Amino acid sequence: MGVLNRPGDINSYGYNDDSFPTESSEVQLETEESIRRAFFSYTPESPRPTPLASIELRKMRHVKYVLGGIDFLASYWTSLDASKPWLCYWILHSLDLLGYKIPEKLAERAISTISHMQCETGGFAGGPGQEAHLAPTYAAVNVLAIIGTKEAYDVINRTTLLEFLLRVKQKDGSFTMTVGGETDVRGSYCAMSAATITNIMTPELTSGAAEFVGRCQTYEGGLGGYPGVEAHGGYAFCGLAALELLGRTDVLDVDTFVKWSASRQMSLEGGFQGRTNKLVDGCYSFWMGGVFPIIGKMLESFDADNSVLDFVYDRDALQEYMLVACQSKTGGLRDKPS
Amino acid sequence: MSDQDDIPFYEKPEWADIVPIPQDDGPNPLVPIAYTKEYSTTMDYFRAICRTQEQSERALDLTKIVIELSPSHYTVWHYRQTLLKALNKDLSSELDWIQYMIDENPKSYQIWHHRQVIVDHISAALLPADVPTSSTFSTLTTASGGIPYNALSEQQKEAAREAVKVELAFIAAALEEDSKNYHAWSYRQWVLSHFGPGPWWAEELEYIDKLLETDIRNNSAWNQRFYAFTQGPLGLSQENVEKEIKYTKTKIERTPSNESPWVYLGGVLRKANHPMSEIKEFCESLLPMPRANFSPYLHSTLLEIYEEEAKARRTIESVTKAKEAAVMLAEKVDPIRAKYWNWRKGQLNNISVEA
Repeated sequence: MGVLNRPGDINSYGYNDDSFPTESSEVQLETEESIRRAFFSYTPESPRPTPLASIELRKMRHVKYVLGGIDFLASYWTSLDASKPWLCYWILHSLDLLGYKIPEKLAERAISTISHMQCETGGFAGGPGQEAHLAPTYAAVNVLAIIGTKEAYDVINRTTLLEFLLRVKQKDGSFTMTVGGETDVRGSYCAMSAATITNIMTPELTSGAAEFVGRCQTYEGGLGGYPGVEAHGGYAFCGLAALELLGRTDVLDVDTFVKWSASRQMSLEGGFQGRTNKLVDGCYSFWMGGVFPIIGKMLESFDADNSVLDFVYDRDALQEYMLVACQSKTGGLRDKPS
Repeated sequence: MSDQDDIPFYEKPEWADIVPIPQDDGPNPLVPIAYTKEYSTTMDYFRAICRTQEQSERALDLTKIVIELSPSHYTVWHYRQTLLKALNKDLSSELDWIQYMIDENPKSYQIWHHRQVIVDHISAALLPADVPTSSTFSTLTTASGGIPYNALSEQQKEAAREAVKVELAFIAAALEEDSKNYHAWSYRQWVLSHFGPGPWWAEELEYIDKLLETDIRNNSAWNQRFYAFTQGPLGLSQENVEKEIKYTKTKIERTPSNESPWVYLGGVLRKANHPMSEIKEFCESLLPMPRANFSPYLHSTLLEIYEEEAKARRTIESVTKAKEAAVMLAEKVDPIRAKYWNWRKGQLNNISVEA
């Protein structure tokens, strides 16, 4: 349905602060103002409205932006020196989604770069010579899967990868991100994703994993990073996706999960927030948006007669937010208008 | 905090024995970062030391230098943790340094985890002597299930209370800067649980009250409230449930369009196995008020109440009433969620109605 062609004045939508302002409502109202400005030229209130049909994803600009990161990153990127597989993943996954065919030379370089970040004792690290960590392991395995050739898959030492995953597996079903590192539900997802793609899902690896994720569900219905912690879009996606890969979405209270997820969409902005009473952010288009196809499958399996033909959120509104408010003129996407 | 001399450490004689190891990205790698010379040389030396897992003061100093250049470099944090333990270092000065690092990097997974590892290790002194210790810090007390506060001596309890006081103050300072810092709240929950059923649980409610006075919409504080009642010794007794219902109703009355207290209220009722109908009168009393009657949360709570009634009564009338609430949400009060509310309306068809 969307926000831009909804009946009524766009000024009537948005947060109601009950005439009792606090910091949360103040920043929310400020954000809404900046989104209204971004939307204004497309609304009927505008003196010469820009047609909605002209809204488009500026693919070539985004391709150029992404390609720009391949051969040179300025020194301030040192802050991501332990996330190099992520940099490769963000670039290649974006190109893939934008329909840009990955040239063979680029694929070869990606395979070589990633292979230099594999650890002798299994898994992948944030950079050559670093210790294995589940996040770069996820990114590395998925980069190779995007390339998808035998040569790419052959890079992965599946034996030592399983050894690494078992090394970070905890008795309570959770995974630490690295040996001696922190535990949270990202670990569950990264491990399940890598294990599924490489076909090393063993009972030892998966035992207790679903139950741990289930314990991360809060009274709000969403998932936090660890049992007890606040429900959060990023962790909700990781947890739900891990459960889907495990075939164990049954551990969740579905009704409260769906309600919480649907409630994260912002009534004016159209995009998603990550937590109750926080701000919209383009990244949650993925974390929260990505939850709905999985929910759709869950709901269909309960209710054959009442099958969900479309996902239970406003897709048009999300598109409007991303395309109108989050595309940078020079290419790339952002959290929100600055 | 880092070396104040003009000469980089790697040009000093005490490092002359090290053969630096350059980074091996392979030929023509993707995403090459234009490191400063200082950084790449520092890392060449770090790789050499780390390769042998050298346990020495100079290795410890080097980890600090690397961390300050690259705070999210998780490998160096792990190495630092093993060095602190092997060299039996004074951990209270480490805590001071972590304070400084948190101020600079309040959202770093590594720094918050490091604090937890250090405090976990310090707290081991409070464990009974026969509990086995492990070689990696982080599994030290987690394996044993935390500190058995009630079994401690008076002196040990005092030490535990002091440690908790310091940590909670550390976290409160971070929350002053950003009242919703996810890492801070996660760590706060770990501290409360790890040290066992001490007096800090009841005190936590006072802390949450203060935060909610400052910002009634702070959902992290509301979540913490639920945590305080359900994970520690406080519990959701009948008395506590009634107190919480009363508390939350006053917050709702002040800000009826604030999602947090509504969801908290539903959560408490559900956890304590109370029917939603317990708040039906309260909700219906808000309906005629202009300042409340467009709250999507008022209407969605009414939908839950009417749905619960419909499932119990199974009359056409009660199902219709619930459906009307769903339609009100989809069409007037909360149209962004029209698809969801229409799905809820469809679900009501599953209630088999008595003829």
